[in-house]
Amino acid sequence: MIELRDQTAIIGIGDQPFTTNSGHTELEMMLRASLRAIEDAGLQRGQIDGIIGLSPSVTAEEYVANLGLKNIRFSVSVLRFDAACLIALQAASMAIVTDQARYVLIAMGRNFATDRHITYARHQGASPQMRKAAEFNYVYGETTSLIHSAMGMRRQMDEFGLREDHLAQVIVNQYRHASLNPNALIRRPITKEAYFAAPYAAEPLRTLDNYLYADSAGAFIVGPATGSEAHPPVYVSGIAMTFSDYPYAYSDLLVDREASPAARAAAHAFQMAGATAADMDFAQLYDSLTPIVFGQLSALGFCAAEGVADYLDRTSLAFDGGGLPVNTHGGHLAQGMAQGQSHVLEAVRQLRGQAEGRQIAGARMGVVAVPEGAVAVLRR
Amino acid sequence: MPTEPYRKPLPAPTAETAPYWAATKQHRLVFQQCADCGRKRHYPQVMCPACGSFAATWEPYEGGGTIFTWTVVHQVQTPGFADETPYNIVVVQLENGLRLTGNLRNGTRADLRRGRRVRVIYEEITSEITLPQFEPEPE
Repeated sequence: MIELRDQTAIIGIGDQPFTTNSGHTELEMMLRASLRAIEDAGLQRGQIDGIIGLSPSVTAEEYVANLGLKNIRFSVSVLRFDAACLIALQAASMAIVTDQARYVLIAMGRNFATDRHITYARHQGASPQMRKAAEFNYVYGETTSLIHSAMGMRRQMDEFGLREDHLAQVIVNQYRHASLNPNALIRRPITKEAYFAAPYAAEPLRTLDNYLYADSAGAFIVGPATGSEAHPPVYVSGIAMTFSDYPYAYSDLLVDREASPAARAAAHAFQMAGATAADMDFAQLYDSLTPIVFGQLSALGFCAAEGVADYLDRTSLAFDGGGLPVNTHGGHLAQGMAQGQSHVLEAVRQLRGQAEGRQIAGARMGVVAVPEGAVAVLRR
Repeated sequence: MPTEPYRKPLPAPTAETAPYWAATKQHRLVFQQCADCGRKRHYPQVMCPACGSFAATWEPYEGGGTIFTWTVVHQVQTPGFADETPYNIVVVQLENGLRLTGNLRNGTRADLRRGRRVRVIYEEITSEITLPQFEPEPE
């Protein structure tokens, strides 16, 4: 059996500005972010021998041709929406320890703002993953993940005593973090009163509980733990994914608490890392919608499912609050939608000490998670 | 039968799901049940996740249910629903252990609560498609 723990590292990162109109295709955004990541790692383009491109509108062939990569010997497709970056990290780490590749470039570029109609079409059932939801849920007006998540939040309120105040707590915290991040779509903190002044989108969620439509791209390079001297390596200590065996429409409704895919992935990732939630200096939690942050806190073991409200009442989520810093970049709710790449890049920046005005003092180890079932434990 | 063109998303039945929609057209609700181990399932799918059997029957369901969770949508997210926004969505816990999504018709705001008993009604939305829906049971 080959051990993965601390055998690979994220050795280079690069991204593009969050905007509402990038003026570039997703391919061009990904290429620009990739060049930055290669430079950041101190590598030459020709040293990249593995590639995983994560935009559904870009083929690996197109991507490799533009980068002029002649030495590719590892490439896979990852089709999962939200967990794609972490699953790519898992695949890259396995490829490197088995000598199928040495430097794997992973890039995600999405024009969620300018190609909003494409996103919309996908949500309308244009992708196979959404076909049955289209047939049995969209017909009743449950057409977006926001509406679905609203019903999940209602369950958490009924079952676990969560309140709308807790939504405000997450939003206010992440807008503050985004205001301290030079690369965020919105750099203006908001108050709790401003949160409650926003109209309902789908009760109990307000318009601010949805991710911000943004164009963005980010890339990172995974290499051997000894692979680069440009920066201190950020080790991949634990990495795991799983699938939910629940249909989409019922996946977030707490129908079977034992089946939480994030909890199963977290158990594997923490075991691999030899760590627990208590060892984490931060949590970058996938946050396309505010309520999915809550379920991840319990899935990762920061508190019991029944205890999320109590945990939030006594824990600061701020980078400088002495509690559990969550989404220190602002996340998809306040920095902008990036389909998970930004959470990985922020974890790397925090562990390198490069997070500028939002740096967590002494950050040594942290977790990146996606509720549909992927967890990475990273450490410096 | 409605005369206006139907603007909301329509189900597109497949071989896997056609028996469900054929039944709702006759104002009946049916759910897949594994012919080997008896496990019920919804959505319809080809294989039983419990025992691996490909054999299934379609069993009639005649009961009601209780509201499991709900929302009221205020922001138009899909053009076809603009005229009726705000509108509610309910997930109903059925007596056979399955859950079914729909809209609560003929109720008031006070009926939107966990545990509220509801019964199944049918809405003929096109000549081909009839949607199962819910309404509050008298209290």
